[in-house]
Amino acid sequence: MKRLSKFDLNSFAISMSGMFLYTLLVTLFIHPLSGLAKVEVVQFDDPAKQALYQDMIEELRCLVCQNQNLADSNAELAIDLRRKTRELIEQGKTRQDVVAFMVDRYGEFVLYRPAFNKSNLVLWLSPVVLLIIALWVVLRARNRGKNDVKEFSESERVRVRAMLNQSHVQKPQKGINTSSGRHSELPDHGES
Amino acid sequence: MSRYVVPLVLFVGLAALLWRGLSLDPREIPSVLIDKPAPAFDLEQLHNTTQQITHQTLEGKVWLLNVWASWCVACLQEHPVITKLSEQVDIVGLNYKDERGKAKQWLIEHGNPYLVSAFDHAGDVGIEYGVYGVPETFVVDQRGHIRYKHIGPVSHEDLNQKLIPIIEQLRQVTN
Repeated sequence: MKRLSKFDLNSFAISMSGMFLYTLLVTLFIHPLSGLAKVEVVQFDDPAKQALYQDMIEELRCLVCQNQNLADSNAELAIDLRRKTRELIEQGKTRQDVVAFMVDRYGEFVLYRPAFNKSNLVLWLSPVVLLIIALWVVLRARNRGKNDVKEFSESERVRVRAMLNQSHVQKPQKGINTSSGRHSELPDHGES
Repeated sequence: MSRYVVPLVLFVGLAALLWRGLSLDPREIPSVLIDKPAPAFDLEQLHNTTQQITHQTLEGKVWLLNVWASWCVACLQEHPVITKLSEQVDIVGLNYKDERGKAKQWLIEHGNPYLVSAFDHAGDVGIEYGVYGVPETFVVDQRGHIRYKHIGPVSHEDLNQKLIPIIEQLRQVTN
């Protein structure tokens, strides 16, 4: 009985790993392909129009599934907007015409590359501004480190020497940690 | 002093920005059509297939265009509110990407608050109006300009705090 169940377990394990492999293969290879196959194939006679169409559906955002472009999405709206894009291009409309058509109806948000205009100024300039602020902060921090090295005045030197001498006399009696103990008593800026 | 003030100001600014972001719904995309003429359409009516309805049918009145469909769950949610609203203002339905039979059945089952429904089977008029989800509701003024767009189901709160005040305000302007 025992042996049989062990054998069962083995074959079970083998069939499980087989299933796992199968699932893995399906997930890795077949699934993404079937995803692509779902987007309808659109053929234009003119290769330039074909290229424009491909360009446009990659650049226009699907407004339902907001992190996908029209080319990636199978939402109803994406299908409709692809159809509209195809119609416009078939009518001989240019890239600007298609972009204007979409922006007039859905707003700038439909574009993955928003235009540079007054309302988008903050969007475009904020990375530059942040970079400048970051550079300023970094440079300031570096300079501060350099300039803050303070020289001891003569009277301070005398006091430090006196302290060092004192500890030199007293510490050896206490034991092993003397040298490190002595150093740590020095003010930090004296070191650099 | 400035070594404390500058980081504090930066922090407060960033916190305010992020706090604002928390209360914004990224799914709500403001319409670009506000204060622009309502896009033209000329569609078959849902019930009377020989009759057309256009964007000019209700010219001179304040009216609402409510995008709905029988497959739309949120439409059912706003349906009582729309029905209540229909006592005060003319509402044209834009039956969006639906099937005629199902749409009519839906109105029989739940009641028909619409003066008339336009049958936008292909969804082309929806694209003209920048519809990206159902339901959506547009308020159109006497000159045929869109003055307000509500995205998603209209709640009783939306009705009392936004839609009705806007409609009344628009009516006063020309009367």
